[in-house]
Parts: sequence; C-alpha cells; structure tokens
Amino acid sequence: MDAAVRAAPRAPRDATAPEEPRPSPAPVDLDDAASQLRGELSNLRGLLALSLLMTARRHEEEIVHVAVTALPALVPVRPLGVHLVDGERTTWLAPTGACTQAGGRSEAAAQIRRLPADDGPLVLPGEPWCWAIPLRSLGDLMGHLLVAADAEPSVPDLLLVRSLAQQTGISLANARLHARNVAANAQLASTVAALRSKTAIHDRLTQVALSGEGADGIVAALHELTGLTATVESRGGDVLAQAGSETTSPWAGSSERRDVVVQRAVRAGRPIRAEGRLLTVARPRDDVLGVLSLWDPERRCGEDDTVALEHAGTVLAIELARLHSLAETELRLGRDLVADLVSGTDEDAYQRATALGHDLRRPHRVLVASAGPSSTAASDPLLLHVRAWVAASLGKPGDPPPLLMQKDATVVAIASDAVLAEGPALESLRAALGTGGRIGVGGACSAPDEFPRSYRQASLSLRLADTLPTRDPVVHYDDLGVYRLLSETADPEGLDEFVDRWLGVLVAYDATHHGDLVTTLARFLDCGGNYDATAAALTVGRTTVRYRVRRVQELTGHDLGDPETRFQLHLALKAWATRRSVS
Amino acid sequence: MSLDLTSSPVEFAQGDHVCGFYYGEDERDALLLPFLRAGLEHGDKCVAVVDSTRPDEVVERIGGTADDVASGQLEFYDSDQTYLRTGAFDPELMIEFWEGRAREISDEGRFGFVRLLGEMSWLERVPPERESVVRYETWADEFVTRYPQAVLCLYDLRKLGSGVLMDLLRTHPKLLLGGLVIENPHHLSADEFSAARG
Repeated sequence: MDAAVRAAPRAPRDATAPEEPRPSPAPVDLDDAASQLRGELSNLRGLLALSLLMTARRHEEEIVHVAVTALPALVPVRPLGVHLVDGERTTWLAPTGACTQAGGRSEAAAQIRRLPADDGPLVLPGEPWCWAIPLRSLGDLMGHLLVAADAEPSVPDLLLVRSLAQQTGISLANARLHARNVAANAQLASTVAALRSKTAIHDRLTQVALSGEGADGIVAALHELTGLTATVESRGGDVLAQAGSETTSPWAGSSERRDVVVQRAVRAGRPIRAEGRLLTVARPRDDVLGVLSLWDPERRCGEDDTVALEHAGTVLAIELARLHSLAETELRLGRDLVADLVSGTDEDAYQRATALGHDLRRPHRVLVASAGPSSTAASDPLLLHVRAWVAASLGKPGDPPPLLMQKDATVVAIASDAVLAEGPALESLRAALGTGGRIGVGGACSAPDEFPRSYRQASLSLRLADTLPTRDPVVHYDDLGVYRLLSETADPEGLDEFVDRWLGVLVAYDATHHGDLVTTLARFLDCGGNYDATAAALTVGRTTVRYRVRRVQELTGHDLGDPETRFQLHLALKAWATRRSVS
Repeated sequence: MSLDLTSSPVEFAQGDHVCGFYYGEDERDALLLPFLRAGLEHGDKCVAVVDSTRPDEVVERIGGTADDVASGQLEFYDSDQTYLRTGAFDPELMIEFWEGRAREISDEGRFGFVRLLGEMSWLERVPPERESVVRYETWADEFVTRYPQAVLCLYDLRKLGSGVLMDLLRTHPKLLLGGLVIENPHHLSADEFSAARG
C-alpha cells in the first residue's frame, strides 16, 4: 500500500493512563454526509458497471480504452497511459501528457522498473503528482496504469483508482487467457484437421495396398486425393500408370538429365519439384524402382497433397518391391529350369515350365549367345548387355519371364519356335549384338530330353560362327549343311585322320611358326580362288595372299588348280573347323 | 468482443431500455441485426434510426424484403432525418419524434410490440452537449415504460468521451453484454440522477 493511501499509524493505547477528556465532536452536516455517501456509492456502482463492460472485451486495447476513458469521470485524475508487460514484451497504450513522447515513456518505464513492489510515485516533467498503479490478476503483473493530478487525490479517490486498476488487470488477464485459449484451440483444430486429413490419406492408400490394385490403383487414389494428374514411371521413364485428365508434358532434356533429378530426389528423401512436377522416388532398398509424380506446373500442391504423395510413394515402393521380388523369383526358377533341361537332369520339366507360363509341349530351341570371341568372363559388361537384350528380345511386356541363364561366358536361353518365328526377336537380337556378339541356335526340341542335344547344337553353331564364310552373327544349326554332317559323324577318328592327311603339314607349320596358312587356305577356297576377295576377307594385302597360297602348295605339294584336290582340301578344312569346334 | 450471429436472439422484455456498447462494425452488426431480425420474425414493429450503415443493407441482412418496409413493419430513418434534423442534436425535437411515432403506432393498433433502435455513432461527427444526451436518455428511461416496447441504444465506444460513458452507464437500466441483457448496477432513476448531479 502506498503512503498516500496508508492510514497513519496509530500509537498503542496505554490502559493505565488516565483518560483524557474527549473533545466534543464537531456537528455533522447530515445533508453533506448523505451526499458524500451517495457519491461514493454511485462511484462504486459505476466501477462495477465498468468492470462488467471491461470483462466483456476480448482485446487489451479496448479494455484499456474503457478504463482510461471512464477514469476522469470517476475521480479527478488524468490517465497518462498504460504500460503493459507480457513476458519480455512491453507495450504502451493510450499514452498522453508526459508519456506522449518516446522519451517520456522511456523515462516512465525506467522508473517503473525501479519501483519497490511495483507500486509507487513517478517523477515526470509537468506532472505535480504522478503514480504508477500495478494492474494485477492473481499475482500476475499485467502492467501499470499511470495517473497524474494537480494534487494528491483523496484516500477514497485513490481507492477507487486502485479498484479500477485491479478490475482492469483482471480483465486484461481474462483477455490474454482467452486469446491464448483461442490460439490453442485454433492450433488444436488445425492439428486435428491435419490428423484427420492424414488419416484419410493413410486409409485410402492402405486400402489400395491391401486390395492389390497395383500402380493403377495407387495413381487413381492419389488423383482422387489431390485432384492432380498422378503418374508412375519406371526408372527409365516409361509410363507404367497414370490417372487424371490434365495432359502432362514429357521430360525435357536427356535421360541423363532425368537421372540427375531422380538422384536429387533420392538425396532429398522427400518430394521435390522438377519439370512442372512434384515427384518422389519409390526406393524400397537402395535401388530406385520407380518415380511417382503429381503434375503441378502451377504449384497448387499443399501440405496435404505432399503428404499424400509421400504415402503413395511408400505404397508404390512396397508394390514395386513385391513385383521385383516376384520377377527375381521367376527368373531364378527359370534359370534353374534351363540348367536342368540343358544338362538333362530334369524330371518334371513340364510342370515347372507350366508354373512359369511356358508350354514345353510346343517346339522350343536352345539359344547360346556370347559377347564375342574376346569375352570370356561371366561378368563381362558386354555379356550382361547381351543377356539383357536376349531377355528383352524374347519376351514382350506381359509375357512370362524368359527362360534364361548365364553359363560361363555365354547366355543360354530357351525360346519357342513361335517366338522365334515372329521375326523381330532374332532380328532385334542380331542388331543388338553388333559386331562382336554371336548366337547359336540349336535344333528344335519336342520333349524335355531333347534339350541337351539342342544345347550342344547351339553351342557348336556359336563356336562355328567365326569360321563360317557367311559371317552372320546368328547361326542356326539347321542351316550348317556340311558342318552339321561332319559334327554328327559316327567316326570322328576317321575324320581326324582325313584332316591330318590333307592339312597336317599346314597345321604343324602354323603351330611352329605362328602362321595363318590354314585360315588363308580356307578363305581362299571359300572365295573360289579369288585373290582380291580373299585379301579383303582376311584384311591383308593381295601379295600376302599370293605368298601364303604359294607357300601352301610348296609345303603340301598339292596342285590347287586341280578341282578334285581343291574339293578334298575344302572338305578337310571344314572338317578341321568342325572338329575344333566340337572339341 | 465477438458475438455469434447465429446464436439465439437476445430476449428483450417490454419496458427494456438497453445500452449496447461496441467496437467496430462487426460488433455493431452483432447487436443490431439480431434485435431487428427477431422483431421481424416475431411480427414486431421495428423502428430503427441508423447512422453508420444503410437501411437497405440492414433489411437484406436480417432476411427482410421491400414488402416488409412497404407494409410498415420495418421502418428506417437515418440520423439526418432524426437526431441531426436541424444540423445539431436537439433532444426536445427527438423526444417529440419518438413520442409522435409511439402514439401513432399505438393508435394504429397493428402491432402488439414495438422495437426501437437508435444508433448513436453520429456523436463523434456532431458532438452534442453532454447535458443534451443525459436529458434524452433520462427521458427514454421513462418513455419506454409507457408503451409495449423495448429500446436499444447503440454506442460505439471508440467515439465516446469519458464523461459521456459514465453518464450513459447511469441512464440505461440494462446493458447488452456478451449476448446477454443484464441489469446495470450503475443505473440511476431520473430522480436519483438529478440528486447525484446536485
């Protein structure tokens, strides 16, 4: 309590002291007393009405406005303003008089901070009497009401000012509590709405995952949730599924550029924007299996849309992982089946093949492919390329997985005559193999026990590929002609004696001198004895060919001009190539 | 303060002289519109003097039509036709206006209850003598009891001087606060008021 309000301390009464005669009370003017009481009662009722008015306000400025507006009508003081405190934040409301200027307010605030018990006089220029009265509610300090007067107000007036300040403080506390409640409720409502939205998204996409609707179901749900066109693409950029009416623009730039964006999405770990899309990657493990995007060139996507895309990306990752795993299992089963078929150890090939979607009762053939003579390692990238092309060429989207395995430096495949006869399969393989790759195609098989034979034939055809004058990278065993007869001879030793008799000297010479006489002779006879054609086929000079041919005649003593000699030599050369391929 | 316009309308009883304080147009509408809308729905006669809004907007927002105005159930005036008819506020002319309207409506006998509304935001634009406002509101306190009617006076708190605020609190027996009509503890009867002012 301040000095102005506090009653003067009364001295303790001495009971033993003789009582002094009491002065006669001054005559009381009953009319004045009644008038004073009526005035005080009126002011107290006014205070109560103001309290009702302020309690109904929700904004601090309005509460302060009511208080400072009413105050001069209640008591003869001037409000200088209200200094509000809310945590670290301080605010001045309705400043007047000495507090109109920033300097005056700073000085007043500094004096308020130095006040003991937050209550006391201030010394401000031009104000004979000035007081800072705390605005409190349940012990919390809301700020101070600054009042000024030409002279110190009476005790009843000060009591009224303090009462008004207290009611103001309570109203301010109510308003702050209300504002915090409103903010908390708004935050809570926002959180609940977000949770509801996320739950709806989660429920819808869980429904898709459980129903096995696949990529089509995922994009349909995502489109339904966002209203935007949703697309699933393979890592390579092929559209796997799409839902929505808006036409999307294709990716600009090269596939490398697209790959850079995909890698950026992987690193971000959340949806990113690129090419008018908001996209995320389906990445169940380390590999990116697919790209899920929302077409949003106008950047309309909100928080809920992003959440839906993230959830859908997770569901897509699971779906693609499942398909990937299924495909891997099918490939493994197919690989095992091929291995058993070509080795002749399979006992229930029909059932296993049927389970993989292949009908071995129809004619099939074994294919053996290699990346070329220089490719010997199973991990050769060129061979892996060949394997991928074999798989792609022998199967269309939706077909059963191709029966395929890798064996040493070759790729072994089993394909039906129907697939091979469709045309593009071998043609696309031939184009894909380029200059290095070779394929041998075995004879037809009508039963499982015929596959080892077809495998041997395909292998022979592959090995003969570089020997044949046609130079076709795809060699069919059925087209081998004399090579086929030679490879199937029942008397291989007799064939070896025949080769040795006609070519033994030349083979020995080449082995000793690292020569090419046998090869040169073979090409010379393949080219009908034409030196220029032989030189072109061997990519050597014509003179070299003439020298080697003369050397052949000198070493063997054979007359190459004799047709019968030429035939015997030609046959011996084919037998030599066949025996070498077979062995 | 924000009032829910969709909430149940405030109940006004016969003889109510209510003061509604507000900050801004939204709060004004939250007091003004339900008062008149309830009158329209109950079949009461509504006489309103508005100042910071247009009568046609009010009619539309309370769900009324031009027919309701033509029929005489809704009767609108602006402050220039009433409070400021002579360019400044003359309480005697205004008293004469209301007395005349009340008598005519009573004589006509079409309506069992009348709602009178006075929007006083013109106070800031043409400040009257404080005594004039006190005289007017003190008369209204007695006037409202003579007919089957209720009076709602609307004051924009932003536009009131300090003395007027306390005078208005003294001259209105009821306050419209937080969507409720409550007794005003500071209200003084005309005699008490005269005595208090000495």
